[in-house]
Amino acid sequence: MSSITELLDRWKRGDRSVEDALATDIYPVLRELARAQVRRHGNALTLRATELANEAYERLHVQQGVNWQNRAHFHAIAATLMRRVVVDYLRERQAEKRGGDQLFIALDDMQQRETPSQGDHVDWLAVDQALTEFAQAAPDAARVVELRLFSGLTKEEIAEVCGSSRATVGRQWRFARAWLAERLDVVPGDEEPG
Amino acid sequence: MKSPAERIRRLGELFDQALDLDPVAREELLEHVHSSDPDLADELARLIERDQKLLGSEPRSALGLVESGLDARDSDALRPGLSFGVYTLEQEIGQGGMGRVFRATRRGADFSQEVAIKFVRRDLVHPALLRRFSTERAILAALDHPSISRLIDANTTPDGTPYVVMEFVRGQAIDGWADARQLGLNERLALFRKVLTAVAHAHRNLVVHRDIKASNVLVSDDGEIKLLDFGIAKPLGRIGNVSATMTMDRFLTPSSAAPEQLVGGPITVACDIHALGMLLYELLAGRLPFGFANMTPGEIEHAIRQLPPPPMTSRIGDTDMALVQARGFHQLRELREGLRGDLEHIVQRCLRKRPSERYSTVDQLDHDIDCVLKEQPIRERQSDRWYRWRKFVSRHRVASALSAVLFLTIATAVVAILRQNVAITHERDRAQRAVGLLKSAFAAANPTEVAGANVTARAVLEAARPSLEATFESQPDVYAELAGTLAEVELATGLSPQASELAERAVLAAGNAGFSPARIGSLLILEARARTNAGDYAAAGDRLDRAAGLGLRPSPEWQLAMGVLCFHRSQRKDAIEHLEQAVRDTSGRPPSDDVANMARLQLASVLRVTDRSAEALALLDQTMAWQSAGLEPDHPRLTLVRMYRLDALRRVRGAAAAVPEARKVVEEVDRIYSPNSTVAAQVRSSLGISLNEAGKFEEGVQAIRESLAAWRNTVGNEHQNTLRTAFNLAQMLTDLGGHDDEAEALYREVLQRSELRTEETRLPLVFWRSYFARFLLVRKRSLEALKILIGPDNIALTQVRAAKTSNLNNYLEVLAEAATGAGCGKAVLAPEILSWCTSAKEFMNASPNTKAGTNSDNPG
Repeated sequence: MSSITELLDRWKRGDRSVEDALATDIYPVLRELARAQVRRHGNALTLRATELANEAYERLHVQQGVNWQNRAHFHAIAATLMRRVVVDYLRERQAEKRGGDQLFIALDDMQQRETPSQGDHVDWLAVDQALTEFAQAAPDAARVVELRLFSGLTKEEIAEVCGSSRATVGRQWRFARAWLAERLDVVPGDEEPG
Repeated sequence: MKSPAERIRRLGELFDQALDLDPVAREELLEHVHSSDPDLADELARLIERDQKLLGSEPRSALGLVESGLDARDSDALRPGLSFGVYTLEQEIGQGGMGRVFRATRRGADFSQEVAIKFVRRDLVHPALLRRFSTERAILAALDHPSISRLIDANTTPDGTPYVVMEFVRGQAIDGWADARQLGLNERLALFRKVLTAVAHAHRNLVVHRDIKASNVLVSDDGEIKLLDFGIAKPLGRIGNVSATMTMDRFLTPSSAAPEQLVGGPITVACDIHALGMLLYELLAGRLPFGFANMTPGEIEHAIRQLPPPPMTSRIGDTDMALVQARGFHQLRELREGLRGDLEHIVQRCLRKRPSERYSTVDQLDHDIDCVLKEQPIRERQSDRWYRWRKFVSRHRVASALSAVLFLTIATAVVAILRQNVAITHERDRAQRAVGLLKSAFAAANPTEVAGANVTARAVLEAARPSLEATFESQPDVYAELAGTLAEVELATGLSPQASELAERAVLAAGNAGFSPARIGSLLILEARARTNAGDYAAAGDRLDRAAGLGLRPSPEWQLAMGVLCFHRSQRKDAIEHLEQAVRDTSGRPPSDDVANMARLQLASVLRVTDRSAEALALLDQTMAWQSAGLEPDHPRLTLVRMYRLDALRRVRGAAAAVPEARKVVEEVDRIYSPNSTVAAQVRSSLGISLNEAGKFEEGVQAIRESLAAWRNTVGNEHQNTLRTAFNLAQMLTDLGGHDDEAEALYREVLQRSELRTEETRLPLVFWRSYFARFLLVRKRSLEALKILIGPDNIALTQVRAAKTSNLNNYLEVLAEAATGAGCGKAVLAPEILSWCTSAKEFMNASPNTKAGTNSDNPG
């Protein structure tokens, strides 16, 4: 069993301490594949996270003998890692102020906007923080959100990864969405005591 | 007090309960909670309200940042504060496909200078290239001009990352700078001329910029221009054996590239002229010619290589007041007027697809802009109308050296009449004969497009053109004759709307020239044919009525045109009647006769679609025998008939018999026409259908894929033939299985594109919708199916009302099924499906004359 497989298994069982080690192993693969995507599709195209995770799994499987019971679960760790990439990246570049856009965008607006789903102006650090808080109370729903935001998986696929039904995932998503929207709309500083 | 986590959990439970309740029960729940914990109740109420507002919304994606984040991790070494050599990085100022850009300090013995350093992503550069770069940089460094940011150094960091050091420029991109100061059009032109001066300087030193765009043209606070990145793309742009297109992807902004840059053509001054045209367009109109932001790379490439840029005025919307004011105007109208005319011509000339048709030097462009500023006419303008003509004629290459010679002879004669040397009657007659010759030469060349035979019809018309449009007034007879011929050519090359317009002008001129009713009638028939092809059936019918009024009804030409129009309008019985008449009346004509041929082919088509395939086959066999007797083997016309015969053959003798014949015809078409012609597209469709029917599904799908590609290349993505073929391909992929993604993408493309088409068409949209919805239903995606069936703004419902009964019944059946599957039958409807269910229900209730409906699962 390769060491990555072992790490993945531990992570699956809930051991979050292995994330750093996994990141070290998986980031280079993701990065290389992301570049290949950009090269293939040009810069105009948003990264396709699902494709990326699929290819990364393929690569790890072939090159390092990573063998995991379910490819879908690889998407879960990939989403976690991608979230970390974004958060780390933004933390390092605090000078470059982001924020200003709502996390959720109404369908009507999506038709009209030049780049409908790009979230370059969302305050992702605040999203991350809120999501972390939310995860304390509702870890399963938080996982659904993480997958929606960072994996590019469809709702059906998310249900599969979470070992749950589409309906349940749909409800968890609605609650999380309402809660996050409410939370992120709060004026900074007006926070509840921990 | 509960911990925040417990509170969220409790909220979650209550929220979940509330989702299942109707509004009244929900209120009760809230009141109940309120009695014990008012804050919690308030929060719950807010969440429910949020939920309602957020229905149908989607989260934004962070994936773009994932990419940047992954990249940033790669070059951890690059961060402010880092020093190497004489440089210290200060601040990151930009990021692009090519790498990252920092503002940095360069320390010398007794000075310190602010510079910009571009780091190129290591994986994009070949080592051999870096060596070459060092020789090129000497040339670049020699570019000494106050408006060009100087190249200071180019090297690699100790860890091997290549970088370029440039003079650091403080300034704003030219478009934003001009907007901020509300510069009027003339001031913008004056500013643009400064850019031209800098580019001209570089060109004189044999350096091409290759990536001119607004963000590379900065203006300092005091209004001085600085061009960035001169020539950098060139040394970096050629990598080992990698193809030019891939190189392109990596280094250039596709949306600012010239067409030839996208296909690896030579990089010349003309590329910069194209980019300058884009820049001028954006500077004046506030937008680029195409909405690149919404396009995929493939679409961008298609737009740049194929689509003519729309006029600048068309890119300005009725509500673009900010744009108007930023140009110092008060009224939209004033801006639009300013952009029309000479400026439009200048921009369009810069943006021509062929490098040779653009301004050949920056100085010429500058001269024309100078003329505009001085309110003098520009040379360019007179030739523009001709440019459009030349464009279609250029598509129509002449097949053989023989025709080339013929053309040159004719050209001399045509030029002679156009020079108004028509006083001597015999010379005039000779010229008219020349026109006739020209016509038959076009016919001979049509519709073959043989690569390599480069003496073109274009050359001939170019020689004749400076005077033709002028003859509309002075010599309407000549005009009518020539315009008629050209309309015929346009029609043959598939440019029906243009042909319609030109034919209409020809009719007008013929009237002015006092042509005989018979000749005016012929031109009217020509116009009717063009309008039929363009989908304008009402106008086509009107022209044929007028031709009939002039006594043309008995002619086979009229019968043929009328038959085709009826066929297009699905009046098949009338179509057969007229076409049979045309076939009978042309039986004595030679096999080279257009009308005789077309009448037979069209009649065969109508017979085939009315289930009279045996008769169609007999007719085509007879046509082939008749042609073989009079034409050489390999004559394009024989190939054409052989191709039309395939479908009839398949229906009469079966697919197994048709496949080998279809393969032979494909080969013949590729040889005699080209693999990239409409004929090739059509014959591959036939082959695909035969293969499919013969049970060779994989091969069938492949043939249809090739057909689709050929349609896209020849008539574009929007054409009904492209759409029909795409739909067929999607159907076949569905049947084949295992290609759901490809099939679904095609279905969606077809529906989306056909919705955009407003003209009268015969596209079976309702059938397509039902079919795709069925596809989704089988995959248990009822709600999506329902959405497809209803469409945005209930568009589908309007179309269904106009559909045939059989389609309507089928549609209603699928609709009922989708509505049930999506859960519309439940007592309490989830809010996200409510509006869809309502639309479905209203529509079903409004269609009482059919059997399907929500409440009758057992029809009859």
